[in-house]
Amino acid sequence: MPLPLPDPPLSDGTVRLRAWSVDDVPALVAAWSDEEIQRWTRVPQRRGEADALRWIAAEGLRRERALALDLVISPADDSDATVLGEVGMVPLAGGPSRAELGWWVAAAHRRRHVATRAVGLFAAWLRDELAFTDLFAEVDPDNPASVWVAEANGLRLRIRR
Amino acid sequence: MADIDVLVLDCDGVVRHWDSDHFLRTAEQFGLTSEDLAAIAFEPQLLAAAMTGVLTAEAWNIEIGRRASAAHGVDAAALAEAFASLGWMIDGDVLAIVHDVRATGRARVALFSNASTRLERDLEASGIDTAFDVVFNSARLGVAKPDPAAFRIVADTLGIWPERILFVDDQAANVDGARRAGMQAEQFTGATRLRSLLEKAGLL
Repeated sequence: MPLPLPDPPLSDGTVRLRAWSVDDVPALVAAWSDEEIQRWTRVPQRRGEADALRWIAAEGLRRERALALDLVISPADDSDATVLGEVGMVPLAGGPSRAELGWWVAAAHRRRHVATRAVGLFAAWLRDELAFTDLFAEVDPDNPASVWVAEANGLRLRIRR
Repeated sequence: MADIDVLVLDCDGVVRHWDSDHFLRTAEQFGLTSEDLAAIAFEPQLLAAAMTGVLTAEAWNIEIGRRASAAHGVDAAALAEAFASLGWMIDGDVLAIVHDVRATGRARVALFSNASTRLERDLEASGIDTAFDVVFNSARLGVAKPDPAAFRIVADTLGIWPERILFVDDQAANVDGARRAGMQAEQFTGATRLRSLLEKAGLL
C-alpha cells in the first residue's frame, strides 16, 4: 500500500513539512557536505548535484512502493521554501506497524528546536493517521541533541552500532 | 564489511530453484533433449526480450512454441503450455534467513530477479510474495542484471546509497555488475555460507 503525503500538510505554526522539490538540490548537496550531518547520519559517498537530483526524483517512487517517506522541514510561512532540515521514515517488518525515523537540521538552523518540532508533527501523524505504533530512531549516544529529540517525541531509541 | 541497510537477493538459483528434472522430462515428452529446449527458450535475444518486458511471459512462451515447431516440428501450442507449467521449489533455508534478517530489523530485504512478467504471480503462487520488503523484476524495470543501470534503479528506488546495499547472486557476472554500480556484492554458494556472511555483516 502506498505511503501518502500528509494532507493537509503538517504545520505547528513555526515549521511545516512539505514534499521534496527539484529546487531543493543545492540545499541537499550542502547538507550532505555538512560535517555534523556526515557524523551522525548516513550520507552517500557520491554527493554531487546529479546524485541529489536522483534521490529527490525517486521520492515519489519510494512512497508508491511503501519503501520510505521523506519530507522537507520548512518555515510555516508557505511562501518561504527554505530547507531547514529533513524528516523521513522507513517502514520495517518484524511488527505490525513499525517504522524507523531519521532527521537532520541544516547548520544555520540548529539549536532552535526545529527537529523536535518536525519529528513531533511527523510522529503524531504517523501514529494517528497511519496507525504506526512502534516508532524508533537509531541514534548515537554521543549525539545528545538527537537523543533529546527522540525522547521528547516518545520514540524508542536504538543505539547505533 | 561496512554498514548495510538493505540486503538484495537474487531469485533464481538463490531463493527459487527450477526443477531441472521436470525441464528434462518436458523436453523428452516432445522428443527433444534438454539442450534443444534450452537453446530455443534461452536464445540470448529472445531471453533478453522476455527479461526486459519487451515480451510478456505469455508472448515469450508462444514464441518458444513457434520456434520449436519450426525447428523440430513439435506442437507449438502444447509446448508453449508445457514450458509455462515448469515447476520449481523455494529454498526453505534461504527463506528462513530472509525472515530472520527482517525480524532483527537491522536491514530490509529486497528480491531482485531477472524475470518475465509472471514473476509476481509465481511468488504469490509459492506464498512468498510478502516475504520481502520489496520485489524488483527486470521485466518491470526494462533493464536487467548485470547492467549497472539496473542496480542503480534499485538503489534509487530504495533511496539507499549503493554502498549501503549488499547484493547476493549466484551468477558472478551479476555480482560484478552490482559492484560496478557501487554496491557491496557477494556470490551465493549456499544457505549456510549466506547465513555466516550476514552474521559477519551484523545483520543476524
